Parts: sequence; C-alpha cells; structure tokens
Amino acid sequence: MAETLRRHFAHLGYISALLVLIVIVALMSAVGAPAQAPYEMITLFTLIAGCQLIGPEFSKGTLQLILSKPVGRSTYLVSRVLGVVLAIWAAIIVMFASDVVGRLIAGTPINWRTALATMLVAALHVLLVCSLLAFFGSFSRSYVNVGIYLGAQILLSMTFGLLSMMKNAVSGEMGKIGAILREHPAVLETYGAIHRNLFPDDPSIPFDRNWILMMLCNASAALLLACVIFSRREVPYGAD
Amino acid sequence: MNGIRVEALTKAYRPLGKVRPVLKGIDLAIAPGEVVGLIGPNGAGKTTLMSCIVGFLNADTGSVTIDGRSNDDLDVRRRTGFVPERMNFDRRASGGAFLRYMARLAGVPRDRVRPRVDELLARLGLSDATDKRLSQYSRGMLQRIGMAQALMLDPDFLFLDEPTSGLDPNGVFLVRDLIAEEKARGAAVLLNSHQLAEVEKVCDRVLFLKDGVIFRDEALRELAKVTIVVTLLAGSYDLSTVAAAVGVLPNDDVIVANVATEGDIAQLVSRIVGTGAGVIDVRRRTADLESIFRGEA
Repeated sequence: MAETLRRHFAHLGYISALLVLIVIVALMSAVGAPAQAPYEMITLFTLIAGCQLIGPEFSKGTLQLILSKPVGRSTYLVSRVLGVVLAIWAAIIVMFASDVVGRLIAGTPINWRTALATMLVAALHVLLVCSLLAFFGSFSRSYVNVGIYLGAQILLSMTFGLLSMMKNAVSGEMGKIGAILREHPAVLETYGAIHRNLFPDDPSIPFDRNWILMMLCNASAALLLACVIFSRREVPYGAD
Repeated sequence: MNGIRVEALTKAYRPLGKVRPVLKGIDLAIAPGEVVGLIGPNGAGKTTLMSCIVGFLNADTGSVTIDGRSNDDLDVRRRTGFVPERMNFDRRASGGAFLRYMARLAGVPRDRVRPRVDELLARLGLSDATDKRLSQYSRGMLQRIGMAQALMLDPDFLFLDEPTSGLDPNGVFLVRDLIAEEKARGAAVLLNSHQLAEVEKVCDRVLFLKDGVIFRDEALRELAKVTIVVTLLAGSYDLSTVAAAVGVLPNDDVIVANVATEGDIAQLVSRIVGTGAGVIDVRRRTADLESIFRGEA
C-alpha cells in the first residue's frame, strides 16, 4: 500500500492532474458552481489510476517478482486497491480544501453539510470503482479492466433502456418480448438492480445510510471476488 | 531440511481450447546444498517447469513440494529466492528503493531494511548505483539487482532463470561465486540456463529437458571423464596390434579413447608406443555438456 501511494505521489501525471483539478475546483467554486460539480472529474481520475491495478503488472512481468515474496495474493491485491483508493481520497481532500478556499476568497456561501456529503459520495464512488477495476483486472490483462468497466456500463444502460422500451410494446416481435417481460417483471428488476449496484447514481438525500451501506457491500463483494479469482490465477512470466 | 521434490508433474497450455502439452510427467528431486542445471532446446518446457515449481503456474496433475510443503506456503516463500530472466519493475525507482521495497515485501524487519539492502548492494558490486534509477541500469546491473533481491533472506531454495544473461565476465564470475556460496550454505539451487559452460562450472547435476520430459539426468562428475585423441604416424603401426593393445580401432590414423583419470593417459600412450607405433600428437578432450547437448538436442 505504501509503495502504491509513493508511486502515485511521485508520479508527474498524478501531480499535474491534481494541480489542474485544484485550479478548476477553485475557479468553479469562485463562480458559485454547485459543490458536487468538480467531483464529476474524480471518476475519470479514478479510471486512470485504477486501470493500473493488476493488468500492467501482470503483462510486464512485475507481478511474478512480487508473488515470489512471502506475500499472500489477496493481501497484495487488497493493499494495492487501498493504495490507489487512498491516493485518490487524498486528491478528494485537496479538492475539498481548494473548494472551501475558493468559496471563502470569492465570498460565496458554504453549505458544509452538502459539501461533506458530496465528498463522502465521491469517496465511496472511488472505492467501488477501484474494487470493480480490481475485479475486472483479476481475470484480464493490461488495461482491459477499464474496457470491461466502460463496456459493461454502456451495455447495461443500453440494454436496460431497450428492455424498458420493449416492455411497453404490444404488437409484432417486440410485442412478444414485451409480453414475456410483462409476465416476468423480475427480469427487468434484476437487470435494473445489477445496473444500480454496479454503476449507482448519487443518493437523493445527503448521508443516505442505505446508499452508503450498498456502496460498502458492493465494493467488498467485488474485492472478495477479485481476491478469489486472483488467488488461483496463473502468472506466467513474459506474459505478453 | 528436505529439498525440492517434483512428482509426475504434467502441464498443458490451452490456447483457444486447443490442448498443447508442455510437461509430460516430470519427476525430479533437488537436495539441500545441490546445484542442478536445467537445459534443453527452446520450447522444451524449462520456463514452464520452473514456473510450476515456484508456483506461478498450476500443475495439471502431479505435485510440487518444497521442504515437504506446498510451493504456495508463505513460509516456503520466505525461504525461496527467485531471479527472473528479465527484471521488469518500475524503472523510475532507484536501485536502493527497489531493494528496500523487496525487503519490505520479504518481511525484513523495518530497522534491518536499510543495512540489509546496503549489504546486498555491496555484495553485488552495486553500491555506487544505489541512487541511480533502474532505467539507467545496464542489462547486467539489472541482472545483479535481480540476484540481490533473491538473496534478501538468505534463501534455502534458489531458482535462477538465466542469471548470467547479459552479464560481463566480472558479473559472470560474481554470480558463479554467489551460487557457490549459496551451495556451501546449504541452499538447493535450480539453474535454468542456455549457457552450457556456466552450467558445467557451477552445477552438480544437470537435467536435459526435451519435449516436456527429462530424458537425461546426469551427474557432472560422470560427464567429466577424459577423452584422449591420439594421432599416429601413418604407416608406422599395425592396425590389429594397436587395436589389441588399447581396445580401440584406429580410424584414419586417429585413436579416440576414454580414460577414467588423467594418470591413465600416460599408460594409454605407453601401450600404443609399445606396439611400435609412431605417435605424433596427443590431445585431451573433455566430454562436455555441449557435445552431449549437440548429440541429444
């Protein structure tokens, strides 16, 4: 974990991205933009940092060197995820601070409850995204985990929309599928639940306990699955 | 302490569902204090075998035990050193930082990390390159730092994949000395190398791997028997008399004979001369790994 943090904090890309974020956040808060607006960029930041969780180390052959040491694979994977999560949480804290400073300088009011709730939402999104990237990385190579993440997000959204549309159809082939969907509402509900759990929207109320619990449970489940798969995964050297 | 034991190990790769057997029933044992070389042509399965033993790959059938335990046992890992053929790591890290990270992963106590790393860097002749980035290291330096990380905890089991690849002569001598030191300490060493001369110098035993099976397991002492090539003066000898004296028929005025010791050479030459044959040249040729490899590979 410490090594992952060190690598991020010493990485020119991380430092530059953070500086850009600070400037953007300060400017946005100075003009009175909503507190949650800057945190949208954190998802992109998380994808960039999280894509390197396992795949590149697997492909470059670094992983073999690490796994030859007396370190449990699950311990290694969890500490890598925590390292990335903490590095991005550090960025969130810096962004929060620059948001506050920006608002104080501009004299715009600060809603502390909203600001803190927004920061918590962003932090939990980071945890879930990193856990999912670890899970997708546990059975793929290079940066494929990000591809799976984005692909799944797009595919789930599209098919969910399509199925919802079909549900209302009454004639032709679409009507037949619609009838099946109306007869078995669990299909669409399950689909929706998967989508909501993997790619959740922000909670409608600040500090929503159920939402927080769902995020923590889903991140834990993804991490657990990642550990199970990774513990049995073969790591041939000279993998690529 | 038990050594390394592999029994009836098989492994196949399955690219696109097509089964390609790589290891077809490997049995081997390496005792503590023994250095065993693994040689064979490309694609013979050497890397796959080493990967299965270290635990990077799962065997399809058969078993691998190290000191009587499973190869993924963390205590076994603590006593294992592995040097990959190519060192792939964050090239922005300095040599010292890399080794400190490896030391922490290996579980070296926090207060012992720096002294141990300095000690290893000095041992591998890299003290001057401690703060240099790995990206600035030559291939040979990377090999040496790879060796350093493997020796972090004075391993009982050492797996070396082409450790002298890319090394200059001094580096080769250094690795050779290190292997000898580890052997003297009682470590079981498995060395995968294409450099037959090196294998011959450091190994007690050599395994020839071909098409996924060990087709020869040779103790190098037996390989080192002396072969003598004696050239006779044409027309100076009687073929059958010489053949009767030395037990080998001359071919084109040349006798090629094996003797057990160097002392037997003089006796052999004396028997030839005793038949009245004129000897114009005597050369010694060692039956080396190369000749065996050429013959078998």
